[in-house]
Amino acid sequence: MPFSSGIPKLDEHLSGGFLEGKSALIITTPGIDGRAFAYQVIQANPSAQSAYFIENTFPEQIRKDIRRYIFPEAAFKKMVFIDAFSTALGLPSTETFAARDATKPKSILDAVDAAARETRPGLLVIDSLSGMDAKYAFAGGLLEKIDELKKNGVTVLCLFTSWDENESARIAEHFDYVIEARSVEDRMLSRSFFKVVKAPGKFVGTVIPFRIGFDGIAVYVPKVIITGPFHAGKSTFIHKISTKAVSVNRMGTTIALDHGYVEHSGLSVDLFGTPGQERFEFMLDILNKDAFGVVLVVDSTKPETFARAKEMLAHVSRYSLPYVVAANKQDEKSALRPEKIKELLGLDADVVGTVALTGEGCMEALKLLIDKIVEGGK
Amino acid sequence: MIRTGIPDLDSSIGGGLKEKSNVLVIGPPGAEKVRLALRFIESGAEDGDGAVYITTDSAPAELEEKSRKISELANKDLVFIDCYSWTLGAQQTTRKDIIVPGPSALNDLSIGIAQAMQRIFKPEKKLRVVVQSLSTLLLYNNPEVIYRFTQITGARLKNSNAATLFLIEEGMHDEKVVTTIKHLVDAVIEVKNENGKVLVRAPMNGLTQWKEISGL
Repeated sequence: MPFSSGIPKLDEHLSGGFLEGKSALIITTPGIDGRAFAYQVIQANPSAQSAYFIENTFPEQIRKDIRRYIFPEAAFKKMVFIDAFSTALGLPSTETFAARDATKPKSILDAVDAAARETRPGLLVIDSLSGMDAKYAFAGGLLEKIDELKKNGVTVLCLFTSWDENESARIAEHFDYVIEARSVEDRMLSRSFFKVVKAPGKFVGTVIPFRIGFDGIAVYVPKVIITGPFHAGKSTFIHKISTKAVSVNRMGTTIALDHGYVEHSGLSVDLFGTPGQERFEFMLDILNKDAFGVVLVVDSTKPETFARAKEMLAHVSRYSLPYVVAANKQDEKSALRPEKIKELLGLDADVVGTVALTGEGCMEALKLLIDKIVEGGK
Repeated sequence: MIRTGIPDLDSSIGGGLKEKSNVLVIGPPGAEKVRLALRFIESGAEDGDGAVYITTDSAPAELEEKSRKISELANKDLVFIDCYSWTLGAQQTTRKDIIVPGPSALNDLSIGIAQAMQRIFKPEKKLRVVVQSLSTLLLYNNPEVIYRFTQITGARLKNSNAATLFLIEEGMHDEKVVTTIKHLVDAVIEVKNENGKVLVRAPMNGLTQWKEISGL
């Protein structure tokens, strides 16, 4: 039985979880709490004996950290610590398994051995391999130790904070599974994604948005807001690209909202259309935490509405949300070209020509936005 | 421009520091670097800016004792990230500081910074950040990692409209380490204390001669 990652969506990508006797590397960019992934795995396998190796703080801090979540306490009953920190500060360790002198790699490896011998863990967490790697040449021999433990059927999960991409690429070669988690930070917003980049057997890694809450790691469906001035074609846009869509209409105009759902290269996205009126600001205020980006639909034949569009974009940038402009109704004779609209909006925005009625260009616009979001505007 | 809050210094560097910049404050022990940093935060309050104070060297409460204004600001427009009090363990506290489990838990520090930003960020609001100090971080971590930390954190802070002071002790680190860090920042403020007079110099901001400052 593989060890479930505790994240159903991730298990899907791992064909059920982490296999026995394999090693996994969780690479996180600074600012992402990689430990949450480790906790998630441990609590999902409460009957498995587990060991938590810690070299960057006191084990007590980890216990405290775990209590921040609402995981059942019993889920960590079978976990022991391997303390590779306390003695490095010259303090005694209260753990059963502790390096006698945590300034010496040999002493650290001895503590790992002792824990492996006496508790026969199914699961070993290394927090963190990046810390060991920064402190000691060749991570103090820890990689060799991991290989040895794997042969005895231990599944090893290593946390790695990537301060340097080349470093993590070098280390990744040693592992059976590699999961990268990174966040795109822009002022107040922080969007995090993980991706399986390596796993035994066949797999297609896709980008999965997640957030760490009091209940651990939660995968969610990002929301994209489709907005624009009155009668620009927002509803049509949503209905044309959605797998499923509904809208609440009164006399031909959307009064509440449109809702659609679309999948693009494995990423599912919820689309929310907002009426062109003041409600847009309101929607943005309540949706902004979940909102991933905005498609602003403008009627290319009505330059008189561009002032309103610009106002809306100003509001979007206050939240530093990524956006693209869909220059709609490109099939009409009087339609201004996307380049011209870009000029009139006076913004460094990406403007894509669309015909919402036929769907032309719509998916391209959304695709561009999603790429922008995932790449962090690169 | 972001005022340092020290008129003698501001007047010599064209009004203040650049918004969105990382500044190294370097000087020997006793050169009043912390006073300078506190003054920087205090003047931010006068200008309506938000502030984050990252401390590895003293408890937030100790810093508040040094300045009444700071204690008034705490938990409103000022968030402390406390990498110092962690050894006190599970002691009950009413403080709302963000606690980081020690100066070697660098990723926890990054997470703390992101949390602090979310707590006080408002669009169009400027931010002032103090990191006290890089010296302690260097003591607990490999210098290479601290270079990356300074670079990545600095870039993110700039992205959030922040002007950041990184404090570092002179004479405590290899010259190579200090030189490398100087390359990673946008400006350097040198501070020294001569017979009770505090002198500053900011060569990259046009203040090439030592100048006495008052009002710390």
